[in-house]
Amino acid sequence: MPRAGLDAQECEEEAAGVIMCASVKYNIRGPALIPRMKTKHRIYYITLFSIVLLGLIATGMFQFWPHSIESSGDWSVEKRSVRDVPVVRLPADSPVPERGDLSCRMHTCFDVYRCGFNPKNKIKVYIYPLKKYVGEAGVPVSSTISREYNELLTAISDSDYYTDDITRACLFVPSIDLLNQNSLRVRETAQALAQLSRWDRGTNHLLFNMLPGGPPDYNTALDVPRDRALLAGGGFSTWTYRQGYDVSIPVYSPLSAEVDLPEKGPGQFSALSTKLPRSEIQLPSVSLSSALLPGRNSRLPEGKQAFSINPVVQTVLRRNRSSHAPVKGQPFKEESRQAHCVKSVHQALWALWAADRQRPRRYFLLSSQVALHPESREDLAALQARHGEAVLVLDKCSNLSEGVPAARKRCHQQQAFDYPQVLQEATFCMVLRGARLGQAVLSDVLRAGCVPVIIADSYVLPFSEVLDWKRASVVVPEEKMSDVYSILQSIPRRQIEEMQRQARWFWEAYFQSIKAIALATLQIINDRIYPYAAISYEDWNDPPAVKWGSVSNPLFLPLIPPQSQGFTAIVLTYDRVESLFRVITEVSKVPSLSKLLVVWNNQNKNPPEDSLWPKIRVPLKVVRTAENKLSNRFFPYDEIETEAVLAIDDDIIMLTSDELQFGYEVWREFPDRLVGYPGRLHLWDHETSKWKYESEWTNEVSMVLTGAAFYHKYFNYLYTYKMPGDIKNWVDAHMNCEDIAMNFLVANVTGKAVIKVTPRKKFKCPECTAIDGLSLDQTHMVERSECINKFASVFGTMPLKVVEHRADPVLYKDDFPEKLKSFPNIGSL
Amino acid sequence: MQSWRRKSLLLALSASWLLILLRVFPALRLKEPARRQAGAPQGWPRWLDTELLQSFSQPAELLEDGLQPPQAPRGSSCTWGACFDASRCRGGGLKVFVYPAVGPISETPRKVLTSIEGSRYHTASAAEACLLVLVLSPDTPAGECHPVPPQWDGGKNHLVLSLHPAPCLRIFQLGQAMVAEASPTVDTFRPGFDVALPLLPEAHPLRGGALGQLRQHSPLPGVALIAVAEERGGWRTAGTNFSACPWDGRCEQDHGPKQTHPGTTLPNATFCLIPGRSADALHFLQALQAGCIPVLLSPRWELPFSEVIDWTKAAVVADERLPLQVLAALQEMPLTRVLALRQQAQFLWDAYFSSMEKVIHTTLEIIQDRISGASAHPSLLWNSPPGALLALSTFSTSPSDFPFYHLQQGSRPLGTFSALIWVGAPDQPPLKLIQAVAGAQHCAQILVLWSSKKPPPPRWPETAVPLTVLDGHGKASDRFLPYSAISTDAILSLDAHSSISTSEVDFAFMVWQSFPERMVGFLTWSHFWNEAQGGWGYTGERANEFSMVLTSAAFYHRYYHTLFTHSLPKALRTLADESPPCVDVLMNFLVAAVTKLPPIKVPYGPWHQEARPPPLAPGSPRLRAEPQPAAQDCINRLAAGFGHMPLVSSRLRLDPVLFKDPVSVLRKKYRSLEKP
Repeated sequence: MPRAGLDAQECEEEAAGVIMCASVKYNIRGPALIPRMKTKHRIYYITLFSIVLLGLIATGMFQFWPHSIESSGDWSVEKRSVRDVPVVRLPADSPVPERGDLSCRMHTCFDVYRCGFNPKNKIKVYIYPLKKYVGEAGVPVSSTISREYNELLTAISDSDYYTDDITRACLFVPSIDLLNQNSLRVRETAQALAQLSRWDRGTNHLLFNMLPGGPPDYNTALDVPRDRALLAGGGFSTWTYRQGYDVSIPVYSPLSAEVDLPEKGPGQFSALSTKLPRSEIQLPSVSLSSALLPGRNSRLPEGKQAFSINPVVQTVLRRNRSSHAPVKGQPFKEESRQAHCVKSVHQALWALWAADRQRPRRYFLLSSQVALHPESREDLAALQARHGEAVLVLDKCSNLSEGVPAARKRCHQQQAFDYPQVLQEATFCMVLRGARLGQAVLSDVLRAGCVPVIIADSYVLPFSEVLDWKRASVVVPEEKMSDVYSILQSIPRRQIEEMQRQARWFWEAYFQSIKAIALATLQIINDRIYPYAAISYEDWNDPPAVKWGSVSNPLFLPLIPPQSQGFTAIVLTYDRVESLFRVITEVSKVPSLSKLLVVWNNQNKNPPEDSLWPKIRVPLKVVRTAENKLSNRFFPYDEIETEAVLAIDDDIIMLTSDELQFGYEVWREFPDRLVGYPGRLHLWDHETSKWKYESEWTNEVSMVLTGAAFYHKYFNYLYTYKMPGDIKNWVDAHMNCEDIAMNFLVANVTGKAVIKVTPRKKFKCPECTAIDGLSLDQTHMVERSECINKFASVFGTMPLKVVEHRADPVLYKDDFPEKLKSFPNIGSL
Repeated sequence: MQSWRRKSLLLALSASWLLILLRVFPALRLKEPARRQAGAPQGWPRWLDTELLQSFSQPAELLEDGLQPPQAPRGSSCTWGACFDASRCRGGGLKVFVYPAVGPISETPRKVLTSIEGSRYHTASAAEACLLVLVLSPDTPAGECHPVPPQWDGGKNHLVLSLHPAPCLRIFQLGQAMVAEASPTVDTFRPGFDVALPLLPEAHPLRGGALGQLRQHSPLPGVALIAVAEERGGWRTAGTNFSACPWDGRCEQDHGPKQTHPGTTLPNATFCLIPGRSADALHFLQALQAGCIPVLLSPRWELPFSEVIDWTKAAVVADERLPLQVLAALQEMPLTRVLALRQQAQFLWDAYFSSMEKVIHTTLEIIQDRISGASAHPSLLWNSPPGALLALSTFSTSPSDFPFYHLQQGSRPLGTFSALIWVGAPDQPPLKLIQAVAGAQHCAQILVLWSSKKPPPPRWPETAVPLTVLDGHGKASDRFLPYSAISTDAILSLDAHSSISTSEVDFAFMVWQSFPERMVGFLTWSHFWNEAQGGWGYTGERANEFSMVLTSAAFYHRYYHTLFTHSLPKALRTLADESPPCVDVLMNFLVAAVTKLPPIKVPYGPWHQEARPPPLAPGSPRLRAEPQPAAQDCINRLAAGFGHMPLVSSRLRLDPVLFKDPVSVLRKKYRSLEKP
């Protein structure tokens, strides 16, 4: 549809759009035409237009108001006040649930049958409607609902887990707000729980609590009797935490939403930083990152969040992945040389977005908690006395002016600091136990990219079931508090930076908002119920940049498959029967061949009769295809019973039996790679700024042609079912480049280069069939180059790896009797 | 002017038309949201007064909360922090003392004792130790349990180890001791304090171990999908097509074609269903060994080493109450995940379970990790090949420092190498060699390890790269010490007598960068099984395959120096010192045991061999390609020390792409590889 037409339609449909369209026109035409008019006309027209405009606006308003008023009729069920919820009076003798059962486990206390009919391995969660519970005397048992609990229930209700059908739910969340035990009456709240319609001794009920216990003994789990209900609690100790049943959650820090804290990259305390003014410190990482990203200013806008920089991050990663292998004469050459200095791509990357925000931190260790027991405070004072300026211990401010919230200021000897900003000035931040084990300060510390030093014996860290806290924090036993400085100093620099990034990532993913906390909790429970569909350790713990940079080879186990298994040769043919029969005869001489599969790609012609086929010693099977597609060569046929597959064209008759057998032997040593005969290279054309396909005699190889190549059968499965984007269809439509696609696929998934076998010989190049004359040949090269560019854009990276070696038999061309060599007949043509 | 008027009139007219049009529209528009509303779930209401809601905690409250005294942890059971005194392990180093056996003991406890004594953490003095291990024997009757050992001290810093259910464990006053028990029940297991061991069969080998059965990455077509563990031991395979749950008596109607395998034969199937009773723990290990993915149905026991091993990568733990879901999940599991689970199961078997020694060393490593806190093995090192026992956390805790994890980390090894030249006996400074190496493109430094009795020359030739002289002590294993002077990931190990050209070095280093976990060498040996003598032999004769490269000219990762020095048993290193050619064999054994892959050979000009000095006196036989007959014994002693033959043969050599091709020599990058 023409663009103009579309615009017109959009204008018609949206009342607001009309105003906009009209006013735009007005603006565009207005200035140009008005000056040329006489004054009185001008006034006249301006008045006219204003009237029309006003009319339009008025109409628009008119259109809109009734709309929202009418629709609010539909929403009237929803748009209510919290104060108007139904009131439930609890009789004094209504049942109280039993106390929590400490021996509960998923297989004893959880009714998994209720999750039996949830599709897609996803639990369904029901939320009870909000009610206001009052005791017999009419005194409310608790405040109806807190802002955070409302947010939490909203998050659940907006998620995929939510169901409003109580009969199909697997997990029930009461709307009774238990987040803070201090704001509720324990016994009456328990009674309120017990009268929920599906309570059934609390089975499959999930309760959220962040501040458990109360004075004087501060229990580490919610004191409300709850029978078998699961508890998502902040501040569990190992004594109250039911491993694999309860979920340990963070104590949400209200500052997360209140304060805007721009991200600061990892940095460390150094003695220098206290002496130099901060602006004068130039970091090597700045030059590094600018080198990695040529033409890009290393300065990044302040205050950008990690996720908004992701596109940059991804591009850099892609580029870096393409330069894994030693690359010569290719784009990013400089960059890849620079990358030599960089131990890992993601480190460079982090350095990039940290760029100029990365400044040394002024303090090595910081304590920012105000409510500490005098004993702990004495210990801290001793630490500070011993280590001087490197340690900063903050406390409440005594002389705050009016209007400054106490939560946002910390003081040290009359010197005031902004909180939580001051946390960004330290490498390590203390998280000590208060009366409760769970402390909201943990969230602030993580957010500041400061490594938490957790000194709270028996504390069960938030989401410890899935999060690897070793990567983001240091846990020190309380009795070792005096040694904490030396313990922290023994941690290598690089590991500290890793931990700082990890801390920030944990905050972003799991602490940032009530929604993040709620969804992580449900995901953990979901993973317990459907363990085979669970999220992996890497998904939970690896920051996005690491996930992007890493490759997990699907064939990672070092294994050399037994020779006895042999390989299956797959010959793709259309109608060149004579040539096909020659190939079959030649290939059948290879000792390790165990089966031969002919893929008959011609639908108009039947394959020759059985009696006409060459008689060979291994089974020969003909597969007829439904459509003449190049992809048919890479289909994972059930007939393939070996791991090794030899793809061979029906005109490759120049390979000797020794060469093929040797190729198979090489594949056995590299079963996760493409092992092929003719090698090709991709090059970066600086003039066109595009990739170029190269088939000349080069010193490097990045692809092998699948006109004759060994590979693992699994790649057939990947090619057929997991090929990214539209590459598969594109190949079939163009009838070309299926081999390049296969090279991309294998290199991308394994991160490894191809292996070219044996010397170059006069190959009747398979891609040149039916092409004669130079000009056609050139067209062909152009097409192949296009393929490379197309695939690189679909993969979002250049996965191909360039190498300078090929595989030959150990004694190839050595001065050694030919008859004693295993593969004498190699390269002779 | 007229036209303007006309145009504006037109505009006004069209505007009024639009207004009329819009009058008609609302009727159409308003229905839409209403329709949407009806179908959607009700959801949690959006309160009108959301803004007015109070926060769950008032800032003041959070600030005040700590004024109560910090309370001591309550509860009767032990945790790591409360019951283990890590300060006794000075410098973060674990020292383990094991109580000697009292009276005659059976095979299994003896193996346990031997394994602990062979560990690098072992100490013979109980006073020095920070972990004291008490091994319980299964055959001691309940009445004759050991008296409490003298250093018992309420069980503090003690580990009570019981590989088979021992009656003594039940009646023992454990106090503050940790328990390492085979297949402990989840109810009594104290996470982070106790250690869950696997239940091992009686005849589990001491070291080396029963190799994994997995021979290929993907399951063979036609192999049964599921094998079910039988209560009497053994396995029963079930067909792929079943409508009922094959393990449950209640729905035992249609098993499809089934087959029962007796005794201890390993299952041949993709998944191994293990009901999860305690008696099934043996089945679990069998499945791992067979590379059959264990599917545990609500196991009542803690999975072995669950503290460090991520079992979700190797096994499926499912709820037995949802049988149909489990079956459907197994049948529909994508091939990619099946492959990953299979390989991981096999890797875990090989890394931690295949021998008694590995099980015991893993136990001690877990405790060492707890002591070292922040510098413990990251999870990646435990859960990907070659495993935490072979990736020493004393070397580094950053995975990208090791040669094994570059792919997972998206990193690559440093692009330069250090040449380490060993000068033995009465040798002259290898000036020619230094020049050849210093000319290499990526050489970062040259280290000369001067092991000759003569003092080193005061002056060395001017080279483009820094040259450092290190003092050796004349021992053959000296050359594999982790010298702090080595600043690069790659080491080019050379002998003073080696002859090598610059372009050979350049090419070999390019190859090494593609295979940083392997050794890349020029001269090779191969091992063979000598039928006549019933032992292993090795030869330097040129052959069609090889399994070792000589360290007199080879690239490898600097991590192998650390591994060689700190993880190999002292006896093996002494053996190498006594018979110098053995050092080469030992290094090759070590790398092959870690990688399970052959080394890589690159081309080496035949003219070097001709230019080689005449065979030397027997004093330094390691310089020759041909090993001494006397040294043949070394390979057998090493094989015994490793428990198996780790060497793997290769039949290929990596050459430059245009090596000896009929093309102009000017096109070739490494042309001097073909002619000197």
